[in-house]
Amino acid sequence: MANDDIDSIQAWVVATCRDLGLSVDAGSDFFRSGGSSLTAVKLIARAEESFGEDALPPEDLFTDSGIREIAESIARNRQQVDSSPA
Amino acid sequence: MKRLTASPGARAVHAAANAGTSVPFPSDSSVKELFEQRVRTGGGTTALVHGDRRMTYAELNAAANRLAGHLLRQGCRRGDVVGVCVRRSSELVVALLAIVKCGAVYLPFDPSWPDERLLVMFGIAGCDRVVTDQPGPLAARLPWCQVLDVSTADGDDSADPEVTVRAADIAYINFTSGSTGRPKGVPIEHRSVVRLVHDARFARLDDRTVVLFLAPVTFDAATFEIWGALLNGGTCVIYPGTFVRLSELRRVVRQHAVSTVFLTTALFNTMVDEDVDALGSVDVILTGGEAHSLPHIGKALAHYGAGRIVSVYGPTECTTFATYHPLTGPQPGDRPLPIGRPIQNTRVHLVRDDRLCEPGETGEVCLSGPGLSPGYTGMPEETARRFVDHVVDGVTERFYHTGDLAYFEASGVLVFQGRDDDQVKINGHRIELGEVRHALTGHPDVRQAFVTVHVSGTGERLLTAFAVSDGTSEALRDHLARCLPPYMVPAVIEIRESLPLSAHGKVDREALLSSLRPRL
Repeated sequence: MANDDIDSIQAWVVATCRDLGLSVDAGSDFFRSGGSSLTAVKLIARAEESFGEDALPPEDLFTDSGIREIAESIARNRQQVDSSPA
Repeated sequence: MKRLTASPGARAVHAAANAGTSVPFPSDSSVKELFEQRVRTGGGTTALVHGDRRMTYAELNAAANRLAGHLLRQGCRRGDVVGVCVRRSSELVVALLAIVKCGAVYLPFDPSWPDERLLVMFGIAGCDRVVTDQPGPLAARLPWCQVLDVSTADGDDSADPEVTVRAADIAYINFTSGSTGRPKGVPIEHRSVVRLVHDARFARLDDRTVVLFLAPVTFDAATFEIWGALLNGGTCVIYPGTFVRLSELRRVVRQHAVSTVFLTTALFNTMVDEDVDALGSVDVILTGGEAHSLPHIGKALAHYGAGRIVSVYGPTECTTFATYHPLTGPQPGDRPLPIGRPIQNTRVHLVRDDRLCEPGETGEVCLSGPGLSPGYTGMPEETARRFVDHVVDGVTERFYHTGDLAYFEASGVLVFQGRDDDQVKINGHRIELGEVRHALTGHPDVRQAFVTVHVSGTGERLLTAFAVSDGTSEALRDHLARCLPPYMVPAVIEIRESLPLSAHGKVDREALLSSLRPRL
């Protein structure tokens, strides 16, 4: 977990969106790919399950809904299991 | 006026369905009067909870009276329509209460709706004044309106305004999709709100009830969430934040001991899929808005047990809920989940070819009783088409023709069977496909358009449009976003060179849907 970088989180976002029925790749936008407010509820719930509570704040998702931006938000907000300073 | 005939079997099943629904309620009282009564008898009781903030009935009343005083000084008069655009918060409830205390009418709207839509809605409703928590941006968008800041509290007159509000006065107007391209305003009387929440059959509503306010205020479930608590001496817990998050939902209902929650069918299914126990602490979950999914209902029933989940049904024209069906045991898999029996002070008839239906026979759901809207604002023809006086056994009753199809089981329980037109429900939003099609063909590059609902691989219902156009789907999306609220903009917009026709010469929906690129 500690070594997750944005690319691997992005791979998780793409896989999860596909599981939710959206045909996305790394360059897609969540809402423009057919994501609805309900798909958002699901994506947020799954992000929290995998990366901890508040891992993907809804305000972030609704402001910047590119797949890359979603991955960046999770990287910023996920609970740091290994929080030793660099 | 229409005379309806009924066979003995039809008469019997209608009598069974409507038995016991007429109960005494304060049909001469306004929302203002009943709320102010609650303040006098229990002013110290908690009325609102929002985050860390609590307001008693007395505090809420004083805040609403101060804002009402401001509105009255600004010229607001009984019967005026006041737009409300305030984030879900205590201030929002204060604003609604202040408006009804003036004898005025609240018209909730969402800032994400395009200017063109607001212009049309406000024109229909005759609205030229708004109360908001974002006065700057709205004043720029609505230059013809008087824009009042909800947080303004000039003066300290916290006494109840001396305005007489009658039960037949209009309390609010909700707008709903209209098939001809014009949204329809549905005005609701004070007595209809009282009818919804007084002596409710579908859920216990009293001074121990804690209702979650989760719905957007533009959606009429909010009528139940707010007034169901505040006219019964209960507590209204306001869901914090704009967007629903299941972890937050779970936390809020536990922290504030919420007893009663309404979820749209789509959100209910999402909860069941992702975190079935999110509402494990509540007494009653009401859910409705679309046809229910039996697998989701089955899983929820197994988790929550009998009697805690209630399926509810009702169009805006009959004030939020018209029928209810508590889930008491496993549902037979061979028929849809029933929408049940009428709630208190509501009657239902199934009509087909000028007669009442027999058990098992499909007909149009017609609703009657004090929950009915007086008719669409400024649309006499549409009103006359949908709200019709009928004579059954010598008794005249005003029916609202819902356009929903259903049949009665022998016991008088109603089972939903779809629509008789192309109105659809997506995520609880009622959408006339005709209105979306109308907006699409309003674009100069669009020669032909077809709009439908497509069920995604994961069971989500997506509004899907096909257009014959030289433009791009992005351009069409931008066009639609300028004239329709976001929930009416299709999730999928596909450009085609032509639309396939079926053997009957109609657009071949199946062929179009099967041409969609398979989703990964």
